[in-house]
Amino acid sequence: MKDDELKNIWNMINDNTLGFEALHMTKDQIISNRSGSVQNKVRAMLQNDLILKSVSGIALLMNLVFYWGATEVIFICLGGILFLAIVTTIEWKTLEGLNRISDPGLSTREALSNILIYIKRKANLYEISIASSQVLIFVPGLLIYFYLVYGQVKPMTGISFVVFTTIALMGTFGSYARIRSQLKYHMQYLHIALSDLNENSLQYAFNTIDSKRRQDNIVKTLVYFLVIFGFAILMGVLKSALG
Amino acid sequence: MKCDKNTFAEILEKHRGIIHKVSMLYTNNKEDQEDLFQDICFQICRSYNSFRNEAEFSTWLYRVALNTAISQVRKDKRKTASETFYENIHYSAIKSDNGEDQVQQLFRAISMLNRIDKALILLWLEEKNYEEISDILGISKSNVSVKLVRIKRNLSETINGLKQ
Repeated sequence: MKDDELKNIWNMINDNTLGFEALHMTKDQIISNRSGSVQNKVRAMLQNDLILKSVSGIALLMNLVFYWGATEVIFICLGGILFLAIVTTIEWKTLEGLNRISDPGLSTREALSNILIYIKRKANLYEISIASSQVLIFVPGLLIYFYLVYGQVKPMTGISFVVFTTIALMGTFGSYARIRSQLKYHMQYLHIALSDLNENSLQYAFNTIDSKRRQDNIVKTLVYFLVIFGFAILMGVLKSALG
Repeated sequence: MKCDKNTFAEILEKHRGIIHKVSMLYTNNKEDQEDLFQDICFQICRSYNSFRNEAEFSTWLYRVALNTAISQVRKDKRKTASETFYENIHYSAIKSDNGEDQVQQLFRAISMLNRIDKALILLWLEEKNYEEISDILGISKSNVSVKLVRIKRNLSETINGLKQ
């Protein structure tokens, strides 16, 4: 194909492309739209994770039925359900909060500040609760696998226990890192957008975040403790049940 | 220089075609395309005060647009193109008998290139000379020339493959 031929094909693309609304936006509209899409993306992440957690809940209930009579497995499932209920409630509340701040009547500046404040305050909770889905899928999944393949819980050697725990931890930390980087990117965008609007909005957002920091830190510490403790108990009981 | 509403509208009016093409080449679906379009516009406005009249405005604009697109692609490596994306490209009212297919094929072929090659071919298709391409992408003129020969050969082969 000759050079001219390639350029002729390229030049067929029309600059006044139809059906692409972004081409006709003003600066404020672009900032405003993007803040909306940040909010939608964060909301979608939470909704997808809630679906994953529902699957985990179903898997835990299935295990209750499969292993009815095996006291230790039932104990794991009930512990898992309790743990799932707590993190799901946290996530559900976060989602509700996110929906609450999306008032269409707000100005671009107010909407951006609200989203930034909310995401920045809830980022840690959000990251932990989403990452916990990995364990909540992995453990009941493993039990279902044992039931389907062996019809019972398979005795686990020390090495296989270490391997399974490592896989679960890698999945959890991988998920945590992924969510963290995505949120960081969104926050960076909101930060830039607010500083660009140049109306003391960024300062306002940071002041609000600072004033709520103490309360947030208490909740954050409790959740960290819950997740680590819950994970240790779950794996410990799993080891004693299967080992 | 501050990018106020009027300046922004002016830039968008004059150069939206460039931003649109860059955002189309570096994304795989309409939603991402709109996001990238907005990101590029936003970045242009933010960086506007760093523009010095030493270079041509379009050269500077290409640099900002391509840098934004390339860094965005780095974050979204895993996404794949949706089947219908390239079929939704709109064309000039006047087109050759098989113009529609040719544009889609060209887009598909370019989408298979790596992010730097994409930038190179885009600039060449947009009639930028080797010096300007070298300036925008920060590579030597001889490198531009060597790479372009290879990219054009690849494109022709891919397009011929798509035709069959």
